[in-house]
Amino acid sequence: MAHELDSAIGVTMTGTALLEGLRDPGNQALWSAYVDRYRPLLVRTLVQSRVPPHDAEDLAQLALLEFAEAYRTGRYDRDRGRLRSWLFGILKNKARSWRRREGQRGARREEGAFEDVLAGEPAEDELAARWDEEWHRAVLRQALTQARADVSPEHWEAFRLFVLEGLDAAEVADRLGTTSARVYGAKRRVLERVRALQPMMADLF
Amino acid sequence: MVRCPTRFELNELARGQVQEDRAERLLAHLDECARCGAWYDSASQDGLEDELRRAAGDAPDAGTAPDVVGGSLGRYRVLGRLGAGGMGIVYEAEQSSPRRRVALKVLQPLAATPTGLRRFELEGEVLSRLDHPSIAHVYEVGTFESPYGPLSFLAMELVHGRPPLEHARARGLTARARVELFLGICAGVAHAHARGVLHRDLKPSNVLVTADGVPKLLDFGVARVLDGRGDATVTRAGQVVGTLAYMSPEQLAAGEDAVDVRSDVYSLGVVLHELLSERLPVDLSGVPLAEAVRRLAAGSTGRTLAEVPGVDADLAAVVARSLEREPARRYRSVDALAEDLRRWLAREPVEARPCSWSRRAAMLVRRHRRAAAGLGAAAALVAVGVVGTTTQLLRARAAERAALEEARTAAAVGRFLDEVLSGGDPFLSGANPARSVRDLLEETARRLAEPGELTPETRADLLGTIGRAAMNLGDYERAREHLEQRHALLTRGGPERTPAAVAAALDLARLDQVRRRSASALGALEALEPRLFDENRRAFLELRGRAHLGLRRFADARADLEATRDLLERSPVGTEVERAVLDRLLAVVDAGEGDAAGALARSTRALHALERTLGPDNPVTAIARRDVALLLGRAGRHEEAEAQFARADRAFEEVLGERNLHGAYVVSDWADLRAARGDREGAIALYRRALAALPTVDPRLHAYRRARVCVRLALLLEETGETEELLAEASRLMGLQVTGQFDSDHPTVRLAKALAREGRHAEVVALYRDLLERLGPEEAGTERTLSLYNNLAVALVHEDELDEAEAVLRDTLRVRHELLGPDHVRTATAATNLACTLLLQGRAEEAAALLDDSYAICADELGPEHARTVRTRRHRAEALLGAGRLEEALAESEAALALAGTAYPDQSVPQVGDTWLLRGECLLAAGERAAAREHLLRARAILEARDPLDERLLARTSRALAACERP
Repeated sequence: MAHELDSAIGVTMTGTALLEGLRDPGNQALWSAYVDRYRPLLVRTLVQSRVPPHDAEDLAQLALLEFAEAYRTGRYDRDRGRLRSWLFGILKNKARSWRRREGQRGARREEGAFEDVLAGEPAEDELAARWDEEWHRAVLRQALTQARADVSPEHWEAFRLFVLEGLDAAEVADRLGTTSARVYGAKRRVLERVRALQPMMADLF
Repeated sequence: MVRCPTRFELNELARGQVQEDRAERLLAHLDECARCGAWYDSASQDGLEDELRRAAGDAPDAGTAPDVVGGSLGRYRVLGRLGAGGMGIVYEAEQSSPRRRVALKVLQPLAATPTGLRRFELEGEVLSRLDHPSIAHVYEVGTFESPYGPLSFLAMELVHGRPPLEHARARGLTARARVELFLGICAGVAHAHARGVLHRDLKPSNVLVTADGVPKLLDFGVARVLDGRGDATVTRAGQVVGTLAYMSPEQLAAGEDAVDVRSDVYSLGVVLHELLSERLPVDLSGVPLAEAVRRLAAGSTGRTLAEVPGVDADLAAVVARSLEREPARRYRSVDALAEDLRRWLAREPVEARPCSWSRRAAMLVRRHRRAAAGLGAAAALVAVGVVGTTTQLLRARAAERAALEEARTAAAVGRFLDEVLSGGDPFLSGANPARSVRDLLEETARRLAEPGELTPETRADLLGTIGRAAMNLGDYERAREHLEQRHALLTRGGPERTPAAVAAALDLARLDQVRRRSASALGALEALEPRLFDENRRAFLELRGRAHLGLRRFADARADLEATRDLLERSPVGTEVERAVLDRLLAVVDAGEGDAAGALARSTRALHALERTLGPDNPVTAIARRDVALLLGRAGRHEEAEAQFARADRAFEEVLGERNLHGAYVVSDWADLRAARGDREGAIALYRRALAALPTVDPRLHAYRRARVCVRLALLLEETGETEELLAEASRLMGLQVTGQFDSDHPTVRLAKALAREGRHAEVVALYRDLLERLGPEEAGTERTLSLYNNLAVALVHEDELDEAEAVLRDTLRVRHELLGPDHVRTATAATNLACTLLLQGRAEEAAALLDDSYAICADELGPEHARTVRTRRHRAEALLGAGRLEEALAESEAALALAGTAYPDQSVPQVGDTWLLRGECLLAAGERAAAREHLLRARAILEARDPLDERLLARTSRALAACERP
């Protein structure tokens, strides 16, 4: 089974460049790249902190639209804070009002149920932790995608089977008609690329 | 051979700090040199591989599904592929039994991350709840084993058809026929709304019209699952505009209010507009994305339906009302939209368009063309009446005002809360993160008292919010203060004339109910009933149901709660949470009516629903969990019960802190379970925790529970000073308790029993008298209160209040005689007790007569060796002796003593001593002094070993022994 990573578009593009693209109204490919890059992150963060998937989808979408709008109207200034914390701020507000609403909607009538306490105060710490985790993963995926473009297809395939699929080095060697030593070599090459790319990708994202 | 690189160099490489070309040289060396390679591999181990594996595994584009066409998946034969999306593939398949064609959605193996799976399962569950001819039916959700690992699937109704617009064009449908078709779509959406499901992605491509003209909503919510990365709306650039057009402005406008049913009303409005005019309401063709978002969020209504054939001003008004930018101005529900369309079809005036009396008359004439022909327009005008028209106009204007008002209010409230909450938000204020919710409420109340931009209505609203919060925090005084203030603001001292005022009055009644003053809550509700508005009805019924439940009037509670549920099912804004809470309450009713199994099943369902919607550790969920734990305990499933108690306890503690009221109740219930299981140490520990957490403020409210814990803990502890203290506290608390409820588990009863065992009969008498006085009239005459009277009489006997004891026991005997019949064991017990009192008064003949009957009944019902039968014989011997019937007394006392060996496994109880005593007395009367003395000494040994001492029996023994010695 192939681990298909992002298509080339947008991988090495900085967050700012992507957002600039949103200013160009006709550039739907860039919009799509923007959504592809950040939406899964938002959704996963929310779901991980126990927002039901349906609502997570909606909240993520709202957060993306809000952010795009903020950018378009010049309210987002990259110098004033990293995109990562901006987006998280929006997400946090969305999650908070969602929980408040959810709590009020159904739970209000439960006898002395303290639901307003809970509903009013989402697990902010948890959300932040999830966000950091998901962000880190997204950066890694981005680095991995770029690393794939940087190494030879043979090296990538050996790495994929050996590391990502978790097959035996001997089995991978057998499948690809090479030696175990070469498989290790392929692994080292891809990992080295990922390590080298990681800081850059983190800035880029 | 080339020189090996230094460790330092390899280290740099392992940290990714080497230039690309040098890195390549070093890596080439590692390929050749096994030693360096091994060293490098171990030096570079930092978990990156695992992280990458996880990160790559989460890739949204993961994997391709196995090609299964022509093969089988479980009991489905796959016939062909219908389509594919990011997460799954849809096949046409044939199910073997029942034999039918289905659409089979299979989750792609690589999308089967925990998140993906959860989402898929959730969709399936939501869908399988929906059962409506206009919604494609879900048959099954499950998993296949396959060579590729387990595959999740969803089997649903296979629909062959065309999108609505295509169908309408092909059939050349008129505007009226199109509206009728659209009503079918509305019915499906309304059905889903009634079950708490919002579609949120309504668009023509999610609807297919079958050859019979039945519209079917497809992919209800599943659109998300199937349509690329789980999101249908913004994923694929090409589709964006097409889907955006159906989204409501609030869905688009970030930061705006909740998406609710009115959002679906908007989307339906777009669908209707398009169906009628074959164009979208807002022209987006060739418009760049960002501009499209802007236009839609601004709610521009670009096109009208003015020139569309068959669409008159009324129908256009219905569409326009559905497409209002402000949700508050739209139809409140899909049903309301459908209702207006039906009016249009019936040529009645629509709500969307306030209409003049002349037009109304014209419509009436048109509707009853034939009848009206004879009447003429003038008569028609009279028939319509100007009054009605005026009212309608006024109502329309009021609605408009209300919408504007709502918008203004929302903004003001938002600002107000921002101010208050930012003070309490440590992220914003950077101070005092430990600031409590209570402080926050205080602050809100304080600011509300200051003059500000808020209107009285808004002020009232906020008072309601903080009043309810205070109620939930158990701060009832403050809650009452806020809620009364709110009520006063809304009524201005008069009766409730608006839904909001009634709601305020309902909250006050709720406070009573939460404070366990259900009777008073019921009184308030009864007074309020004539002034209820439709929108208050559900809250009213639910509250009355709870109050009935508080008074253990299960039938009434069931009626109200079921009525609430019916209203909820019909309501477009009912949520799963509300349904689950109602289910929880109905389970309590089930249990109260004796259906333990049904109660357990229902409360478990409620728990699962809450776990799903609110999360497993939400306090509301934890309340339901406590119910389940209690019911599991009752069903003897102790391990499971313990686990649920523990989880509920943790949940409350996490959210509410270590010492919290809810946790205290859970912990004390849990302790009861342990005590019942014989886990004394475990129970003691939990009771102590419960005591520490049960509040001492507002003792009246929780007195019952606290007293109960005191008594139970006292009974488990060894005799110490602490036991004394606990019993004393329980006693004091019960003095505070005002309740008409009681059962054998009532703390007063337990306390009295404990005190009786200690020989503190005067206190027992006081407790029972007090309790009996407080019983409601409906309780007083029932069988279960008779045991109280009986216990009171026993204590009275001990206190030598024989006349009163006799009176109480005669009453008891009379009532039991009536209620249970003359041959019931409990009737016999009452007779025996009365006989004992008579014996003490020296009325042996009367006693003997009563005991003859009692003995016969006990022997028949319980058998000759039962302790109660033996006791009756002992007393009978005593009565016979007192009546001078010596021979009979001797025989009876001998039998009693012989049977005491089996009747009382513990030979040290006073009953055994009493039997020896009696036998001795009989022997003494027969002149057999030596034998008598022997029996009496035995009796004294038993009686003296008891704590507390039974002075009366001991005195009798001493008297008899003295008589033995006398010459």
